[in-house]
Amino acid sequence: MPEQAMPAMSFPREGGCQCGGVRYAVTCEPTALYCCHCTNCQAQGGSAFAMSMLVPRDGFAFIKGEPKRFDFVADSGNGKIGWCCPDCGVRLMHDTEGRDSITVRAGTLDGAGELRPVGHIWTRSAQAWMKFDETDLIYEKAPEDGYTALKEKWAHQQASLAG
Amino acid sequence: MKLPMRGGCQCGAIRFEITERPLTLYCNHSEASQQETSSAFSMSLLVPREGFKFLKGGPTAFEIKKESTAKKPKMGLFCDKCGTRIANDTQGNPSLSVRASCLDDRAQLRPVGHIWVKSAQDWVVLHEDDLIYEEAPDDGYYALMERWAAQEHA
Repeated sequence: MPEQAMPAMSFPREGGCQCGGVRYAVTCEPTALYCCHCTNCQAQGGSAFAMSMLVPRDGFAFIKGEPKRFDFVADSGNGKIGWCCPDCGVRLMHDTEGRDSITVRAGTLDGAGELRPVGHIWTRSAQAWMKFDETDLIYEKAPEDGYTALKEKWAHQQASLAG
Repeated sequence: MKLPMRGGCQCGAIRFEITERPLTLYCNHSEASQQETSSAFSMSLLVPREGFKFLKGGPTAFEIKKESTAKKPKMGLFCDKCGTRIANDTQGNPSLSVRASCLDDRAQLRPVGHIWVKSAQDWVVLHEDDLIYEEAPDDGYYALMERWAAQEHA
């Protein structure tokens, strides 16, 4: 499908886990959406990569249920806190200490079929069969620019799809 | 893929072993799979029930509510510490659907097809020669198993 035919993903938007026990709301515009192919995301997700949506900390809130906390060390060495549903295990959000944004695990958003990531990080551990769109931003490890290029591409995509 | 294969959850509390040849590996793009993995699809490795065992820890089970008319109960098995889904178990089926990304050696994974692509995210690039199904296969996954066997013996 050509990009023009797809609307921009609109916010606010809610999301939740598979069993419905935990729900959350994203109340402001996300600042980027990318796929993470690190070994942690593969091991945790049951898929080839995770889909991470950067959301300003103030724009995210749990609105139903009590998520469970899980602390781990990312491939980058950063300490991260994962929040998941205690009843079905689905991971909903990651919080890296000291950052002004959290990452929503975007596949849990209502209407996840509309997601369109703008790049891929930690591709050095990507599964060999994965194919990437030539226009996407590709990073062997974590971006060294504070995710600026990913944020700019996402903003441009949202603006062009909305227009 | 060489046997035995081992894998586990993100925190290491649960470990498992596969001792019989998997029947096939495919990606499931259903809305339930997107939600379950928090990603664009799940990777399902069908493993004969008697060829799968837990080596360490035990999973928590919950019943997955089905959108479809399927009658058999389907259980999700996950680690209660880190939440990682290990497998989905449809009661009465001869095989388990193991989440392939839980395997220690993921470099050798090469799915042979994609199911429920009618709900696939637009941006996902599929290989032209993969088996593609709009919904669930109606041949009992026969073609996916045949393609997998051919790939394994190539």
